[in-house]
Amino acid sequence: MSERALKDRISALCTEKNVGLVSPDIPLLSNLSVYDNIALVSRYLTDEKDEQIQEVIVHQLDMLQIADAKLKKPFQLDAETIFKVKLLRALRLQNSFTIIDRPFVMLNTIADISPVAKMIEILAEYAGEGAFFDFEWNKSKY
Amino acid sequence: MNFVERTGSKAIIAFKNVSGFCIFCLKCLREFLQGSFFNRAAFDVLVMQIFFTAYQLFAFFALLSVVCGSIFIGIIFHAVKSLGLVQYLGDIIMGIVVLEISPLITVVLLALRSSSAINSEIAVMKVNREIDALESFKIDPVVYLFLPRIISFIISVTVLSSLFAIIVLFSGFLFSSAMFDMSGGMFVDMIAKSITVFDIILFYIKSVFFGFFISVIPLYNGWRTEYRSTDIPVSVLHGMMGVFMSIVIVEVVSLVARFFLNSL
Repeated sequence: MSERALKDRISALCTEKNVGLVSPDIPLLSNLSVYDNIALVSRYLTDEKDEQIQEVIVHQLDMLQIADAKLKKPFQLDAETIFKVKLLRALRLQNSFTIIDRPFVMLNTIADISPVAKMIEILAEYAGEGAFFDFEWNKSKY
Repeated sequence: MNFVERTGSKAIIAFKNVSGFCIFCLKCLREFLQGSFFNRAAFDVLVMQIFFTAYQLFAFFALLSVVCGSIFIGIIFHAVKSLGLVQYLGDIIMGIVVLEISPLITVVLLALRSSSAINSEIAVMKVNREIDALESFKIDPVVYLFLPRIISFIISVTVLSSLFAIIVLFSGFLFSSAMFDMSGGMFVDMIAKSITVFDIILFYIKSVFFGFFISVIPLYNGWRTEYRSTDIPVSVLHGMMGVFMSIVIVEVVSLVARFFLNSL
């Protein structure tokens, strides 16, 4: 599948479903901290109390061992932390289907998908359904 | 391409720009009327934007108001005294300095400082696909990014114009007591006789329109930037040109409206 076709398919899915997208094309907001980036979705879309949102996000940051990045801005983060933050942001969409789009573009130092799979496993209690989208030539890495 | 085709294509582009801008304004107005800015995420942006636009500027603006206000009042008082127009002093202070110069200086300062900033901010967000990121999470950029900025600009221009007017009036009082031995009561009486309710309403309507246009034009230009970093300066350039055109238009329209109302 070409890059264009892949993007079109993801766009089509996003319009059909409540999709939490983790993608190299969907960056973090550069003027917000890690916490604010993750909390924005809930604060904008839901009536969830700020204290509850904070409690969950702090717990999730702890689980992924990036609690110290809570107040950092995206430009201060390495690629792995940015990926984790994008993943947590995507999981804030309630009743959603999470798509991880071209993970090896975002995490270009990993040899296979196991580090990402481990992150998802750690966040299992928060994660719903999801799928990876990638090029066929990366099939062997899954 | 012949002359007719060139003219036609320019007219189509101009029409698309104007209609796109009108649609953008209507969408912002619709969200405003629906009270979308009460969304807590958008409200945070509104508060932060008021902090950046008005609060951070406050001390400098107050100082500028004192200096510029004193200069204007000093020049006017000197001219009034030398031309023997003391009986028109109130009309001149209110008509020129308070109702025209105060909002104009405020809006020019805010346009230079904040309109260019929000234009480039939104253009950079567009180029970096941060606006796409918001949309992918079903966060409406009009509600989250644009509306809070428009409201904050309207509030900031109105508040800072009023502050400038108050400082100018106080400066006028000091000059009048020093140059004409005028008491506070006489000064207040003179000012009160020189102003009508229409003038005050027009002052605030003008401030609101100034605030609206110096925010919505840069936001629109930032928003329609192409996904190329080389388009950012072009977007800011167009945005600032639009802002200054809108300032001139609002100023002219308000002058015409004031003369029309005063002649009734």
